[in-house]
Amino acid sequence: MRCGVFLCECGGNISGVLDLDSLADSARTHDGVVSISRNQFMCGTEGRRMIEQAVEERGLDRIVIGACSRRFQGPTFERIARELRLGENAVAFGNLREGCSFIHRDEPAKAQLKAEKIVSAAVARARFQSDLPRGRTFLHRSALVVGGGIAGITAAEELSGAGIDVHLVEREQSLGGYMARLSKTFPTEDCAMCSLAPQLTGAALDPRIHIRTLTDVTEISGPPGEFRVKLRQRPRFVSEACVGCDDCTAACPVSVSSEFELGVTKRKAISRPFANAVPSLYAIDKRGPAPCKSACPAGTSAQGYVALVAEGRFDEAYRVASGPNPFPSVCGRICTHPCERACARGEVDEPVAIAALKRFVADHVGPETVIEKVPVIHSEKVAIIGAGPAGLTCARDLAKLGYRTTVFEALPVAGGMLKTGIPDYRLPKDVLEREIDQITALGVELKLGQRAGKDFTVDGLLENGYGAAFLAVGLQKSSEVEITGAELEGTERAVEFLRRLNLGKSVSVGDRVVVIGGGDVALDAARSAIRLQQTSGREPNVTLVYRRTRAEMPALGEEDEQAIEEGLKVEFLVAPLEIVGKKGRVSALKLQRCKLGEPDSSGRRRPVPIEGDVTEIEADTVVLAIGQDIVCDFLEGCEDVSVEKGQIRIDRDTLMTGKSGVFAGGDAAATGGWTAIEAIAAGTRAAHSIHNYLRGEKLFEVWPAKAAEARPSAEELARREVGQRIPAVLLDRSDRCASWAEVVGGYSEEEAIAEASRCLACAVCSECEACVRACPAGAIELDQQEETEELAVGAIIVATGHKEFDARRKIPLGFGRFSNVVTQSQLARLLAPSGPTAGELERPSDGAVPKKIFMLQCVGSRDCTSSGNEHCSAICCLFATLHASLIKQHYPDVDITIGYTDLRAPGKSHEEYYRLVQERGVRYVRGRVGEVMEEADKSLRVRFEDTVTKRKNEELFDLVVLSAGLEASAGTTEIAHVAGLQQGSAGFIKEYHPKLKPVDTQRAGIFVAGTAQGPKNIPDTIAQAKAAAARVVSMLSAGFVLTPAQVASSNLEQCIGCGICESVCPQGAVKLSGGDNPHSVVDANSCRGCGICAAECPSGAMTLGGYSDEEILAEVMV
Amino acid sequence: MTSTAAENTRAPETEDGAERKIVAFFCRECAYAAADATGNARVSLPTTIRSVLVPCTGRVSPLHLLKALADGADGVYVAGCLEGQCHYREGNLHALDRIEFSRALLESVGVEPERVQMFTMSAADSPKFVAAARKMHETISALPPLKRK
Amino acid sequence: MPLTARGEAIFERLPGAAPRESTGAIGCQIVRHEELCIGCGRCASACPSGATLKGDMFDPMQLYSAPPDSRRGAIGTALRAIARHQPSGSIAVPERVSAFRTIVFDASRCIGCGACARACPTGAAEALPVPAEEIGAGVSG
Repeated sequence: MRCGVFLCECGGNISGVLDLDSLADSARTHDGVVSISRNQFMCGTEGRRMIEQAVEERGLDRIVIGACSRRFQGPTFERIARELRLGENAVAFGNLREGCSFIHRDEPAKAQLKAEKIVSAAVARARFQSDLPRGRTFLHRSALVVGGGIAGITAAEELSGAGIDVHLVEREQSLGGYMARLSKTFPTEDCAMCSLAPQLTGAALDPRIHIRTLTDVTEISGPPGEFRVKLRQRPRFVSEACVGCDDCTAACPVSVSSEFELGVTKRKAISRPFANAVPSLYAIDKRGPAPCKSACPAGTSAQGYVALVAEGRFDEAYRVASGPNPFPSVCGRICTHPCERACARGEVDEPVAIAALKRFVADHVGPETVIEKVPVIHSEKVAIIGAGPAGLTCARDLAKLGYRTTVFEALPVAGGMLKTGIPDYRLPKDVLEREIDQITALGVELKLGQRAGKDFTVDGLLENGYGAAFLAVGLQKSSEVEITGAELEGTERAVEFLRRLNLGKSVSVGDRVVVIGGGDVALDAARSAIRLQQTSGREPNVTLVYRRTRAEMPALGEEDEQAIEEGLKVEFLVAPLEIVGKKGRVSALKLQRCKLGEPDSSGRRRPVPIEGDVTEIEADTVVLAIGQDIVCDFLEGCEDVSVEKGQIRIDRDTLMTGKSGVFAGGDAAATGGWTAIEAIAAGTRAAHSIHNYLRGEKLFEVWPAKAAEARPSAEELARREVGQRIPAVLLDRSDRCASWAEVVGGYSEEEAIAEASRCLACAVCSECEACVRACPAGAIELDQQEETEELAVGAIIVATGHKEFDARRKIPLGFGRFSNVVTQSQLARLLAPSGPTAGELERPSDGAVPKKIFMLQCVGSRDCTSSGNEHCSAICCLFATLHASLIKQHYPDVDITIGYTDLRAPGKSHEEYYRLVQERGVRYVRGRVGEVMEEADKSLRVRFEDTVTKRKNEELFDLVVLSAGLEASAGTTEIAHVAGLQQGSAGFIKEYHPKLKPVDTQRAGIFVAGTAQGPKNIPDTIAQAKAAAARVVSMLSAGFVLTPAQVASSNLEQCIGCGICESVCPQGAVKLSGGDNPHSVVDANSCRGCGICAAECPSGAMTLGGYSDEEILAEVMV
Repeated sequence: MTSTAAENTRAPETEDGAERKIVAFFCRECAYAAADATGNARVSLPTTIRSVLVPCTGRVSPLHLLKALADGADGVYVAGCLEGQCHYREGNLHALDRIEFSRALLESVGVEPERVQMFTMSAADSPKFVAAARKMHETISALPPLKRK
Repeated sequence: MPLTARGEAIFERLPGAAPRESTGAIGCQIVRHEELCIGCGRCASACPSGATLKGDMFDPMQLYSAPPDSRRGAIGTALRAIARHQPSGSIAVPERVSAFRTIVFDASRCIGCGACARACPTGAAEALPVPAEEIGAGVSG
């Protein structure tokens, strides 16, 4: 080593305490020191010359600097060493100033001794310092700008001007950001949109700016200069064909609070935030299936027809309701409506009466709907066995697809269980017949009285011209029950009992009827028995016995209430033991009393007999309603189809049986439960599968994939006002028991509209497809999918902006509770000529022009409580001043008070503007508001303290405007996580250095601009955006960047591949590679040089450039 | 500041009258910045402390700490960023664990664990830096010199 | 501890194989030389049966017995220079300290596959062949 020691006097700062001559003498004694120099300012040009000269003349290969802290002048000396081709790691530093002379001024002797040690340590360290290799990264001449507000647009424009390709990514549907919402800007009072619109258009037309909206950045990897960025673009559901005619918003039935208008008004599910939006396309806010749609086995867009009913558009509602379901009138009455159980409104008060609305719309529109025959376009014929809901739905859907379909029905009537199982008082026969007629009107052929296996065989059909068959034979008999006395006269089986009744055969019951069971069939049998007794002039005497309690009963809740009203007696927790007979006739039913035990596999609590507690109930008719079973006649002449556990065996995904071309569904081959709506769903799915089969396509799963349903958050639900559903009108008890008239009445138009208006529009877009029909350009594409994309860019600018502080967090101020308390940004919308009131100031409660306005400053800003932020939001004083001025100019009589903490108006022309507005008559009061209270007339009582006069005031105002502060937007927090950027208070992105590097972030190659970095006004935002763009230009203009010198590196010969380094690296820069014989590899571009890996390495293979163990220990040991 | 600084200038007398040696590892982002700020404010500090600059306290290993003691230091401490404020995310947490480990090693061979300590501070917190330096100085001065074989 | 995926794979290749406690060994006997261990943990990652684990304790004597030119040895030399007495037993290791952990070896779980010895970079885990007659009767592969 040939080392030169250079001692700096620092103009006396060092030499005033330390004796540098004596220090030089001591340094001279160290091994390897061949030159000593001192200078007044070693960091100056003279010092530089001394170093150059010494290096040249004395052949130095190491330089020791005894001067100030390395953190100050370190880079200066490192640069000199680099330029002298010694490499920057040829310099060692002894901190003689901050580390010695400054802090030991009163102990010069000890300071001198310490200085000698400091220099000695630096010399010792220098011996171990060696040149560090540095790689080069070549730069992509492109940039990513995240955020399409004024900062992002400005930066993009600036970069494009420098010839750099820009990818401008915005998460909303249009560029424009916050500035697009403002009415005017201070202090010039010029229109915000007038300045912004040309910028927007410019960006849209710029060939170097590639705009992506509705897009999130999901990953940023790779080194600065060649970042790899992953983007996720959410579907817009509207194609480029959109001409912006606005016909779709007129057609859309769903209205929700408008984010762009900050909740001041509503927007439709399909919308464009403002006229100058870029891109100018509309977009659909579709958040997934609504809970009601998701819960419906048939996938009916319940939210869709409910929304259309709310608008009084019944024809369209009928089209939506009947789309997947040929039986809307039927289902509106008897469906188990899982949609209502899923309805989010149920968490607020009661679920929307979806089924009743369906019934209304189907009864209202259905009868008038004229059905036309669908032309047959396929040669294959399809046979459907069974004319129940599954079979008829399948037939209808196939007919619509252009197939010739024949439905074979064993009974002389069509409708299956809808016809033979459900009594008239629940489902009038004409309702069912109408809907069946609509199916046959399409061209579906019905062959009644044809029993499969007897009158024809399935195999025979397939041999005689039918391409496929669908078995929808249902469960046509009651389950056999092993109970003594089941053969006695007077014992009825519910399915057969109801079938006889519904087919108009003569049916009679005794005076004392007992029904065993707790399902819908049991209730239907019981209520029918009541009617049979009453129509024959007897008093109703029907008892239902059920093993468990009402809570476990599978029948619909509202229905058993109606039955009890009608006189039904119910015995819970009793199990039948024996039907007691007398002379071959039923005389009584012996029952075992039970209690509830542990839950069984269905989750319901199991009934457990109470030993010895047996009771008897007198009866002359006992109806067994304990389940249904399949009748297997159809299997005759139907090879390869099998029945297991009472169900036809099918492939659940395709509904195909063991025989190719034969499908099955409905109750006989259930894939879910045994309900009408599930049978209808199976019919539709079977039609799809048969179509796939006949078209020679691969059979694939026909059930749609379950998408995550859209549901309002608990917070949103809690904000909803509690109401109640509109009750259905029931037929009077005495009227209904003596006849078979329908019990439940339908809604009137007014009731239906009112009930439908209770819908919360969970999914926003209801998938009613009204827009599809309305769009003249055919631009609606409801099947668009999310897309991902990967880009390579050289640099990134984060311009993700801010959001307004949520003033609801300040509960005493009443925002969100009182309609006439608004935020300053909402006021901007109310004052904007393009806003919902066309610039007229109207107070939200009644639309009147407010006469007295109070503006409260520092809401959520300069606030040390936990509900607020500590920082000053910088723009609010002038934002309020601007709005006060605008109001004063349009409505000179309006009285405006601004309650401020301190009035802050720094910046060009701002103080002048404040004075001007004061002169316009706006009252500024220094004071804090305690509470805002609402009066009966919706005006607001404000209690505030004037902190100048120390007087407490209480005044009435028509409008209170809260100057809510600024916080980091959700997008800012998201990009901080994705890019690994640090966030400071209130979530704003931390800059690398608050003064010297205000637009650099902690991560090289990523820059920040605008309110993502902190609160600021528009001119400052633009200046910062241009600064960030300039940083990108200067970085990318270099062509390449050197990898940092101070990075970790692994000695391959020593590395044992244990992977500890990989596991501890906080940057993910160290990876094991090399398969079976792994070793660690450091990505010099990702490594930030912390040295955690070097400290953890057990073999000593890993080291950190400039901070090897030898270098550190050399310094320690002296 | 000046009067209190003068009071604290002189090292507390050690029983044997000999000055102790303390090695301090400062991270570049926080502690070394606080040290510079302290120097610029001309706050007097004990001359016992010898600082070593490291990029991050995560670079400091048990080897460095024990070697410093074995080679003449009576105490050694590490000063880094506040918890959650490490510029490399978790270097200071690693340092904290290694110091705990080193102290356990010392304890197992009968050496006072307080000879090794860790402090955290922000770059701007010069008073905290000064307090750490003085506390370390006082702690080590109160202990006998570390005997070596 | 259940077998790792690798352990399952090994057992599939060796019909009839079972952990040592039931059959004796299926291959070799493992002898550990803790003075050579550097705490890298490769043996623990390689072990398919959970017999070798990175522990939560550390025996400071391992620093004294380590080769003086190794990292552990250098720390041992430093510690010995200031020690007042012999290390008084194992110490608990904080979460983020990776390499100063004594390996815990449970012979009853060892299946004798020798993976640890092959993985060990320093020879701290040694696999000695077991004479054929000592190998459990159930092993046929």
